[in-house]
Amino acid sequence: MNVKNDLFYTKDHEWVSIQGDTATIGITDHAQSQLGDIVFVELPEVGTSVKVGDTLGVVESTKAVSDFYSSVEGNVTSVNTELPNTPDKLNSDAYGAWLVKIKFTKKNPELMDAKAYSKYIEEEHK
Amino acid sequence: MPYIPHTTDDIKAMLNTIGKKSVDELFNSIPSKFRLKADALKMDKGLSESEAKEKVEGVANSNRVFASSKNFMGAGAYNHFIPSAINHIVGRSEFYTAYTPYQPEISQGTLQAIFEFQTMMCRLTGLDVSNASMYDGATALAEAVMLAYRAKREKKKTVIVPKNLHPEYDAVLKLSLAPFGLNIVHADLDEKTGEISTASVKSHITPDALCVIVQSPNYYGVIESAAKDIAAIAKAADVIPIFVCVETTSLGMFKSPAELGFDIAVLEIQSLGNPVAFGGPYAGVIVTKNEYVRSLPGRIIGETKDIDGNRAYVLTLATREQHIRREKATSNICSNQALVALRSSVYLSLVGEDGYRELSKTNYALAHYAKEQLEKVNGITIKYSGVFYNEFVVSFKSKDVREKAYTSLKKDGFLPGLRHGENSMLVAVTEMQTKQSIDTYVDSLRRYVA
Repeated sequence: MNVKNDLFYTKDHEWVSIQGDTATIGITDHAQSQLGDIVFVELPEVGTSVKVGDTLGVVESTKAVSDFYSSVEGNVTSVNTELPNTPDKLNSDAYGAWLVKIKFTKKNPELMDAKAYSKYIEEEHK
Repeated sequence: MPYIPHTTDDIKAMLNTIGKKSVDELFNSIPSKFRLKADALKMDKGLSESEAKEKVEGVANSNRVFASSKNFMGAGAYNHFIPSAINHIVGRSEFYTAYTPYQPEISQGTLQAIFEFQTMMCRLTGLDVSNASMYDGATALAEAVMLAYRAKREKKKTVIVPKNLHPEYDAVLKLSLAPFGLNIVHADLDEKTGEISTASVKSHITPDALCVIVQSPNYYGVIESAAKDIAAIAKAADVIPIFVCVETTSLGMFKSPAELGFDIAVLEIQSLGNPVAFGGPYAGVIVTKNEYVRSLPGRIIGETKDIDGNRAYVLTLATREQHIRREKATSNICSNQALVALRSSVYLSLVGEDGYRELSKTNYALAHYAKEQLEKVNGITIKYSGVFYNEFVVSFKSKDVREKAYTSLKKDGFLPGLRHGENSMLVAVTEMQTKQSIDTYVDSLRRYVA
């Protein structure tokens, strides 16, 4: 399973890239492989203010419907508007197909690094 | 499915597990005065089959059945011809006893029938996508407003409802929308034409306006001639226009909701092959544009291919149904009115496209003939001047005159119409009437209002 070193991860299988005060959020390679063919993505509106743990949107595959959550507190500054038309990109390029960018003031203190996340998914599958 | 009751031992074991002495104890949280006592249901000794039959027939005989050609009652439930083939096809056990088609591998017939129903609804309305049907027109309308509410991300809360909307639809809206904090404002009607006043709609278009509902033909039978303008005005102000049609046979001759610029259409499909019987079962449907498909409540059946490349049908979209993700469900509808919808599909396929247009024209022509004859009667006026389809409002000189006419017509075997307001009556004329039955009706009325 592909886990990238320069990213942070959540227990809900989102990846978070932190650059300055902007967090970019997507779903992990592990998440997309568990979901199977993704057919629908619902994104939040730009400008929405969110807290840690708030629902940002929905990812739906032929097998399941899952929410994805914010791991930071702040305001949504942009969303990947290409994704609703090409949701399969989440399968083919999980780390390239970002979902939401948030200008944040606080972040979830329980974010994992790549090593911790790799261990986490390993444990989950035991 | 076998029915396996619990034995006394089973019940004892279960009670022991949860630490209760008796089944009654499970209901202790309900105050005893509200609990049904064992002797509360005093039932007579049973009847034999022949006694029971006699009793039920006695009750049935107290119904008064009006001859079809003498039924002038409409007001949301229309007396149309139902081809016998419908009962035979729909009565087949494959359709009649089928459970909801969760398993496509054993439900191809049901799924294909729903798919064809959706296709027909799209063709009638000119819109992209139809759900598999819902409880009835009124609840479908409430669901359509909720669809609009979600589409606007639950930010706008004012629903513009015309005063000439069917009053029962209005009541269902009030009941259904209140828990979501949506406000209903009523647009006035033009007292002369019976149409909704465009100026009044405009006056209600505020930044909080979510949607505007237009019923055509409206409750008074009048076609909303400004429907297209209202849809355009609404859209220009970021308000979603919703079209409602209760008498769906009218779509055979009047412009479709899509042609009129509506993005959401709600139909009641009783008129299409379903009898008027104590208000049900009926069915409603929501048809809309592709952009709203994800907010559409209910289910959508899609066509696909199986692994061998054969055509196959599946429940394509049911993600917002309550049983999939209850906490995210957009509606409490978990199924659809499959059998009623099937009746409508069979009806439409039997009638055909040309037949459907012809049917509309017949309704229109007979209703206009009736109106012209009634107009000539001294003491009767046609209340509204707007273009109508197969229903219109007649007014009498006073309430007393109307009551006399109504009860006398009933004695003559007519179901005269629906009494409306102080001194009026809603009169519907369908293809079930003939020129002759209309003449008899008008002659009788003439006598009673003289």
